[in-house]
Amino acid sequence: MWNYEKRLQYPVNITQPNAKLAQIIITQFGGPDGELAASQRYLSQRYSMPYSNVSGLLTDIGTEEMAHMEIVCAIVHQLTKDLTIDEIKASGFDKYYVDHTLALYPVAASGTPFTATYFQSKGDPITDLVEDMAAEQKARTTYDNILRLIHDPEVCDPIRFLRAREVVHFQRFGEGLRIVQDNLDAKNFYAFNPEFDTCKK
Amino acid sequence: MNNNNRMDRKSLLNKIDMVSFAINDCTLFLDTHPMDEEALICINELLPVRRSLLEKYSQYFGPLTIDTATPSKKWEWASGPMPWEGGCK
Repeated sequence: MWNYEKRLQYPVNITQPNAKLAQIIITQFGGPDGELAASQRYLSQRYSMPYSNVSGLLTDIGTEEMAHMEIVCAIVHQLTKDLTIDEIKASGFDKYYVDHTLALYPVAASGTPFTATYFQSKGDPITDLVEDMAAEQKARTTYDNILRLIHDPEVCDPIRFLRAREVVHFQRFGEGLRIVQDNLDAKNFYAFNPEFDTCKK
Repeated sequence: MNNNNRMDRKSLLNKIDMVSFAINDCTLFLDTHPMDEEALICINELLPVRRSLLEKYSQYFGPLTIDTATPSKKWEWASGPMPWEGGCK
């Protein structure tokens, strides 16, 4: 289960609405390398993970990704607050507005709605952790691309925080992969799948 | 709420954010290094600090967690500004 904590993991205080930036940043909510996909990836994979500290790690990082999703949503919400119809039309936000008004809906920057096909839960710990490490790097690249596109310091500040967490998570998943491999046959990591085959020793 | 109070609230929340972040980072590190002495000392120092800051915040500005809610005449958990609203308005 989960408990809600009534604060953001990192503060977001944006004073200048900007629908153009919102349309870019929303991709880290509902896009292919966004925080929704990240949280659901780790929180789905953890059930069949046979090593308890690695399923604990998936739980803790998956939980932090939900807090990151909330930060991204707060940025988009504050960037689109109090927009006029003229601003909505001029910024190209009209195509989103017509379906969702100013509500948050998980889409990529292209407007494609979120899909579970953005992530895998494969049931093999090496496969899943390698995907998780790649996912952290893809998210880091996306934040780097966002930081090249935007310059508003009130927006860049929380984005830099989120980018730094991707690097830390990548490191921790690397250690998780090492823990998994330490439990396997050192001569052949692929001799069996500890999430499925019964011959665990 | 006067200006002084708003500053107190912001700085108290900032302290909670910082100590909670340190705990979060220690947690992930300890997940993969469960015997690390330095990280264990660090998280043991931080956990009571966070608890007392959350209690102080609840007392003055309303609860951030259900565990620190102290309802008396009115249920305040669901009222007050939501965290995504920002400080500008």
